[in-house]
Amino acid sequence: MIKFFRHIRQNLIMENKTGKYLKYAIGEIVLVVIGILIALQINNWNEKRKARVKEVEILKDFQIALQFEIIQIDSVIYQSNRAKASIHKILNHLENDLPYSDSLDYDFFNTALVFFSEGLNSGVYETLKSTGFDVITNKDIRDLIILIYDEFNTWLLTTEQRYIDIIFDAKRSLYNSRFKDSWNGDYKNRNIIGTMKPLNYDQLKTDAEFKYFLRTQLNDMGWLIYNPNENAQVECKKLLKLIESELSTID
Amino acid sequence: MVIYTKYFMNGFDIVVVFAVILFARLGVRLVTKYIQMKKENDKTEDKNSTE
Repeated sequence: MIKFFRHIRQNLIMENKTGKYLKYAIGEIVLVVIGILIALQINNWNEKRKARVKEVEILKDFQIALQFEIIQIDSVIYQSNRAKASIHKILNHLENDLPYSDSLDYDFFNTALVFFSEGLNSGVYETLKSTGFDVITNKDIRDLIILIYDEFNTWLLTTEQRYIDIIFDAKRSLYNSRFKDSWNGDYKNRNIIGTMKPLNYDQLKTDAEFKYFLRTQLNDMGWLIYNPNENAQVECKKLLKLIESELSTID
Repeated sequence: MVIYTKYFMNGFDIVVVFAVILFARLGVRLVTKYIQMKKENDKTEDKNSTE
């Protein structure tokens, strides 16, 4: 091959036609390079378009997931409010020496409720993780998604588990000596209604340990349920707003 | 979908194939041009010698 080209060069030099041929060769090479650059550019443009389509798809999935998270957190807060109101009612009865009524059994049941929100739905987040975070071009959205689905989710799950542990400990060590049974109700009823009948209501009025538990339970609900859930909800709403504005700019 | 992406070419692969075709075409054109120029040269040399 080298011999062949040397032969060509020598011939051309001899014939004084090197310049002409070189000009022609350079012209051809330039055309090829331009062709490849155009192909690369088209490929880049296509890749960007595909990434944008993927981004929109993921953002829409997050939009649906976040709407669901907000409703789910609302439900947890609603259940917590129910338990909180019952605790206040029971404490009011016990501290003001009010008489026993059957309706209090429902309130005792409500105080022993636990909230299984199971954290945030991380299905979409796992998809994003496997696709790569770079697919989301907006840095604010990317950072907030990581904050909510990574840090807040762990926080929610941990605090929720702590609250569940408190209630289950109480079932073993507190309710067992003060109530006939705990969580007595129709488990098939979606409204979660049940009763817990005290063994001796009058004794509960002077039961410092039980009253301390109820007051502490209110504080625990604040730190372990309201605080993480309300914070998570605020961040979810913020992220939802950002995603909606991003989607509107893309469309 | 997994099978599709596994066995079919992506965008960059197509660009590479395109580049290979362009370079092959370039080689052919350069050699053809050289042969053509040589033939023309031979013709003019023959003409000069007969004159």
